Amino acid sequence: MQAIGKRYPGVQALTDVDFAVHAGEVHALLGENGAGKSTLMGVLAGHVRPDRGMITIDGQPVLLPTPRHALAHGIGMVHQHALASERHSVLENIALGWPRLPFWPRRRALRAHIAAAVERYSLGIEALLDAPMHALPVGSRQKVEIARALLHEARVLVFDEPTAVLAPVEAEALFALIARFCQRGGGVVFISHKLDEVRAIADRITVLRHGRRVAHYAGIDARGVDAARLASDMMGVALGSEVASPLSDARTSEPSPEATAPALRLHNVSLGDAAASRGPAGERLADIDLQLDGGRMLGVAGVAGSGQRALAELLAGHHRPQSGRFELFGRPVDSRQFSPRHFADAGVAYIPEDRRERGIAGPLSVADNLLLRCYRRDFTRAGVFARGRARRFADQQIAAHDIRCPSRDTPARTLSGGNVQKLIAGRELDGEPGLIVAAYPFRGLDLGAVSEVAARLRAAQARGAAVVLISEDVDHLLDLADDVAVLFRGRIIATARCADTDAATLGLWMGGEAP
Amino acid sequence: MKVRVVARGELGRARGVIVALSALVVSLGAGSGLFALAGAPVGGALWVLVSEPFGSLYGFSETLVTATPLILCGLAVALAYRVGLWNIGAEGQLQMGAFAATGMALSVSLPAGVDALGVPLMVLAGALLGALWALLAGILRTHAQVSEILATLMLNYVAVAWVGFWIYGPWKGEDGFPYTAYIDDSWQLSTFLHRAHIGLFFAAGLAVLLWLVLRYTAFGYELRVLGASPATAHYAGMPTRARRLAVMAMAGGLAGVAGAFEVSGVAHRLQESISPGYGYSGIIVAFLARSQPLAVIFSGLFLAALAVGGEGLEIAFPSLSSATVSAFEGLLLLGVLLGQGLSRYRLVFVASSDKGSNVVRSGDPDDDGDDDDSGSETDRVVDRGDEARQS
Repeated sequence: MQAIGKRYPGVQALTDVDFAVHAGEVHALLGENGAGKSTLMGVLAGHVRPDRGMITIDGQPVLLPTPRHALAHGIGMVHQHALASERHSVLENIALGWPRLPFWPRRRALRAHIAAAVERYSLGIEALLDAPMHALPVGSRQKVEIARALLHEARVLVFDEPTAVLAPVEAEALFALIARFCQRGGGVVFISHKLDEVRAIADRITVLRHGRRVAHYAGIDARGVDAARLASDMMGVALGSEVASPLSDARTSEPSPEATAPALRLHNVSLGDAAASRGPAGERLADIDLQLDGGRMLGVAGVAGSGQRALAELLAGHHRPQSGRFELFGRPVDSRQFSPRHFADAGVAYIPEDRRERGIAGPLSVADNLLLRCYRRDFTRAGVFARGRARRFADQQIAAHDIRCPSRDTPARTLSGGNVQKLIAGRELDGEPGLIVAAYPFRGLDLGAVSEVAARLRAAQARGAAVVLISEDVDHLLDLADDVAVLFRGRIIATARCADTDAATLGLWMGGEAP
Repeated sequence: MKVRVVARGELGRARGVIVALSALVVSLGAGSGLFALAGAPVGGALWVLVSEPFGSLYGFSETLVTATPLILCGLAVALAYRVGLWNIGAEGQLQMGAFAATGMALSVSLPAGVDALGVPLMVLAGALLGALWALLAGILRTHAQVSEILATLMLNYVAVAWVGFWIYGPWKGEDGFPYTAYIDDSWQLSTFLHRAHIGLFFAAGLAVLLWLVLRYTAFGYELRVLGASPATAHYAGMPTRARRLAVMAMAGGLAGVAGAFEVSGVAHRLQESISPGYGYSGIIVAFLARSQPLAVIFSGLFLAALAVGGEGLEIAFPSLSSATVSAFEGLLLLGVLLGQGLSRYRLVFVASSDKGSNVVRSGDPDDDGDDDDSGSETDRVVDRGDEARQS
């Protein structure tokens, strides 16, 4: 790709960007949110038409006006969240990608063909081909997209933040897969925020900032480059200033306050399949014992699909546990009180994992979305809604939380991921909650946004709130939390003080190696 | 030269009106062709279509008579749709409302001096039974996951059969025909212009009230969130079940009032043809209005005018069968709805450069510009712009 330029109304998304993928190489693409990574890859995948520039494949100039053209040229995208039909089987979902699928497919031949492809690359989903898509853990869903691309005889695979949803073990497996693909002469584009991963697997590194290529490392340079240098390239800050770890900053600036009143006491709490039937399979909890006091932060680690969603929803009152004792702020919760409203009224804030589907009502305005928690308490008198006051409140909140949007009336779904998260975090942490359940609050955010959200969590904690932080990023947990609990197949198999443990140990526990 | 279809954002209000008007013109043109085929003078037919509903006071009053139930049924469908529920059952709810209202008028004898209570009592009875009828489908939806589309639709047939049972049975008139006796004068709505009764103002008032509720109350806010994203409403701790049921009851009540008005204001008795399908037309009314309560008033009037004009056509031109007139009405509605749908896209003309050095190898040369990726591109326009400003 040479001198690619793309302008959107009001912003120059890409300016004269050169980018090349070589056979057998991993080319990492780095940049903050909004630096132009997705636009550039959109151009490559045929989603976005560039205004300028040229794309050549094997020396031949090509046009990629649609995704189908890109696929025909052997360019396959692996999205963070696989787009799939939940009710159909894994096999059927993979078959969707087959270029020569006849109108009446012969199932047996199809099956053999797909099974062969899956095995050739040891994707690890051989046994799951007949499982329904919704039963697949997050980590494996990605493999379906990979398999689809491979069926197309893809020569270039584009991974968009593939490890954001993966646990360390799963990430290792993915890296091995990428290595195999490269050995067979394929090229890989790897988009990530995680600098250590990039340094570990990339043969080439390109850094974008404000739509321009600001740095490029190849060969020995790429292997040897240090994280601080990449971070300074991305952020546009001179080398030497402290940018590498925004979270450790947050930690050192404020010492962890002493525990105050009890916030959560769970004893032997179990949650069956039925209650969590809407989530992915395996989302159940057994014999959960938890103790958390105000002013403390508990990190929850675990491989994706270990029960994190069930735990977050349980703590936010969305499900009624089958058994066990559940105390909230020192008071036992009886079985009729398990409702999102009761928990919210009691002072539980919840930053959900699926922000766009649950955290916001997409078609409604930013202002309406900011009012979700407080519309009744603060803006309703005798059923009538104080519209003018609510508008002023929304404007204040937009300014206070630095939510970038054209106006408070903009539909929330048009906001970028980072701004959606700022909206949700701002709204949830606003009412001085006593317990904060934050599920993957940093997922997909750039470094600046990560440290902002982290600082807000720390501030709430300093104020005396208890925080449950669920994340797949062990470093985030160790940097921020006081204690850490490891979930494995719906059970807490280990707990430790963060000061007494390290990433390697946690990695072992997450894989099921109980201490 | 290639043409691509690209999604675009919401149209402004002014442009929306322009689109609706031009759609109207285009479909009128197509309809004129239909008249010509049927051997009727096109100009004359179009004139009848306008002059019949608006040209005379009597015609205008007929338009208003027809508009009243259409507005109420349109509101019944639109309100439910605002929380993501399909109320196909306005027809049945109307029938049950008419039944309850008639029952009230036939069985209760008002003591002298409280005559004025008659109509409110009938309306109340109609609203209550209509609400219960819709609530039945609502409970099936919220508690047993039965699709409310099917439940409301099926209950229509039950309601029609129920009304049939009473007018062919216990309430059969003295002359043996399937209608009840006339209700007393004290139970009748007063009229203001020929047959047009004051129920029209009540219906328009309800539309305004509904608009106010959706816009200025916490209840309305909850309904909007529920309609936009049920998962978010649940997450925010809103009583989603109770709100859905409340909406179904309100919707059924609106259609029930329409039934009561038909008995009290128009037919003055319960009869088989108490509704020529107002409940089903309500679906179209709601759609034309994009489920906006205030717009329902106008789309209800529009559909009423079309119905009155159609009847006039059949009388004025014997060569136009009622089927032709129906087909014309269908064309007109199709045109307006198509205009609404298609205006969300625009055509982009791309100079095709396939012959040049830039070669596209592709199995299908005309890329059909699938909605999905063009949609994602416009979405991304906003998205990217936003993010770039952030960094």
